[in-house]
Amino acid sequence: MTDTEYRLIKKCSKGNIDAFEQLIEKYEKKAYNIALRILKNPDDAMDISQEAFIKVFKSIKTFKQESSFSTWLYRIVTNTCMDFLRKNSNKVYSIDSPIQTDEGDFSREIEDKSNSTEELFERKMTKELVHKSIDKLEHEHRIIVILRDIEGFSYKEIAKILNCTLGTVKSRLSRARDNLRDIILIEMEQNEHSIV
Amino acid sequence: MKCQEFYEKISLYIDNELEDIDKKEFEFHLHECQSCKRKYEQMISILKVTNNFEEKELPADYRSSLRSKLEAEVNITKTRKVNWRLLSSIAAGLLLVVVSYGIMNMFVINNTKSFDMEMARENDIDKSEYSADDSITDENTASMDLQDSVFYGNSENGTAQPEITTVEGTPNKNLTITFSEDIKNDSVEEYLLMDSGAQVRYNLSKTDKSKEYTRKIIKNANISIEVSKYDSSFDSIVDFVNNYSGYIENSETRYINQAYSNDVEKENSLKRGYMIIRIPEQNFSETINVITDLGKVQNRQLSETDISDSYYDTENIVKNLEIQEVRLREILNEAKNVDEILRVENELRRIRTEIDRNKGTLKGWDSRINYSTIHVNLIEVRSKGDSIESVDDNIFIKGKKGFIATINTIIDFIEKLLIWIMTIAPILIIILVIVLIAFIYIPKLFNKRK
Repeated sequence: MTDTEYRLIKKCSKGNIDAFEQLIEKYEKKAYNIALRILKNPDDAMDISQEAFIKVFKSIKTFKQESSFSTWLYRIVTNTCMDFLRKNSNKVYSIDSPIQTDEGDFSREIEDKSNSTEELFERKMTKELVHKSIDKLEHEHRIIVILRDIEGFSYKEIAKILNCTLGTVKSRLSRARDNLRDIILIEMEQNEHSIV
Repeated sequence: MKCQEFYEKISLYIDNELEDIDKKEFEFHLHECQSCKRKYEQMISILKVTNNFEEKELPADYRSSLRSKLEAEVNITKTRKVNWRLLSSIAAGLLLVVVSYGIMNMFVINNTKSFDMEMARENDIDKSEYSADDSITDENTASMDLQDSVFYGNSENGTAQPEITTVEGTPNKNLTITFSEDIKNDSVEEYLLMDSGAQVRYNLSKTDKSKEYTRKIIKNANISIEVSKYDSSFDSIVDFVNNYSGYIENSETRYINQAYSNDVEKENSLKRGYMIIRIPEQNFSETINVITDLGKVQNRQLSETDISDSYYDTENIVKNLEIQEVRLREILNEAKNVDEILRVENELRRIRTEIDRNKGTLKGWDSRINYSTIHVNLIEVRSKGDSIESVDDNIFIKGKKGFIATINTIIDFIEKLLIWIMTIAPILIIILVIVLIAFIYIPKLFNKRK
């Protein structure tokens, strides 16, 4: 941690809002983007990421200096997002679940049928498609894909943010990526049908 | 290696998290099995897309709404503190009323049961004991208050843990004195911190001369100034920055009193603004001088972060990777069979992504080094007399304290008066009875005599 950051944190614990704004300025955008990817909705992302910052502000006295401030902050952001998702899980995300339960069988079928070459696959894969598919992942998997493959955190940082072991990160990320690929394949299949 | 095992390791292989042996096995299988290879390549192309997702910009009103939420949060905690004090004093008043009512009831019952003089005396003693107790508890609460305020002060100042324990150890009377010393320690500590920072920088600049490369320094400044005319100061900053080939990254203006929703305060609509200026590094100090000349400086903070070490490390990594890339390309040209070609290509691809990633960070650093960042808080003030909010706050709090103190003395006085009346009430009643008897019988005696 840098000297300035340490001093800013000290000021924040006295309730200095200016110091706090200065402190989080570097992280605001990334925190907002993480929230946006997890929650899929700009309004929610703004509310929840701000809620997370207020949590950070209120509990900055309890922040232990030995860990990095940024991972602590992102941890609060992801946790707040998770809490929000859990509260609203019944309302919003039930539509996705049938696809996920079927996905194992589905994907294998597709593997066998398709003789598509690498190029074809890459050509069909657009940003929107991947984006849509990430949104269809279940919460845990989506978060880990967001942290690693979009935001580019290292395995160690992710372990700290999600408060789990390195092994969990490895296995969960691997499963998440597998699921993502399966969903993308399903989406492609569906797109093809709709075009034909 | 079986295909299932292979699937599980794709992810780790991509992130280069596999052990060497596993990696070899993985690569071997990659060339053996066509369907696995396709899966691997699909994954690579998916991740290529996700890695290139661009960051979305913050919504325009993000910072201002966060600011007002934070201010609301601070206000809530403030009012909560005040409310506690009010509540406790109300509770104390209620308690007093209940206690005195109870005593009065007790006394009235005693009174109606017997007019015995001795009972009255016992009551008398009880009362005096009670009042003594009361004064003791009063002292206790007073000292508690004192401690409270000290702890409160400490937590606000955020001094280090050991200092708090020394405060706890000292006797009550010295509490306030140690508290003020704490503040001094605090500032001294901060000073020392800055001092050591300067020393480190000094050492760095010493080593500077031995190495040939220039130091990579990110310069940041944070300035708060009070100005009398907001709009003209704002414009002059914008003009200056444009003339010196800088740019305004973010700016925001709002009315200071918006958050309070007080009609009277809204009328004096003073403005407050925040802007982030990016200016070429060589114009940095000049820009700061110009800005600070605009008004009264409230807070000025300059910081220089030296990232030379990590910068040149990354640069070296890129260089090495590029050398590796060239060598791999040579190997690729000499490769004899398809198997070898594929293997080399895989390695090449990995190196290429790593080069891209590192170059990206270098680019980001370059922009922060070449363009220094200045955060400016512009605060409009009407005149020197009426704008300083903190003084207002203090007066309000002091007034409140005085008010509470007066109420407490009034309560105290009423309480003592009640106790006194109740204490002498039996005697009064007895005297009254005697006087009554006297009034009734003495005239009769006189009458008889007559």
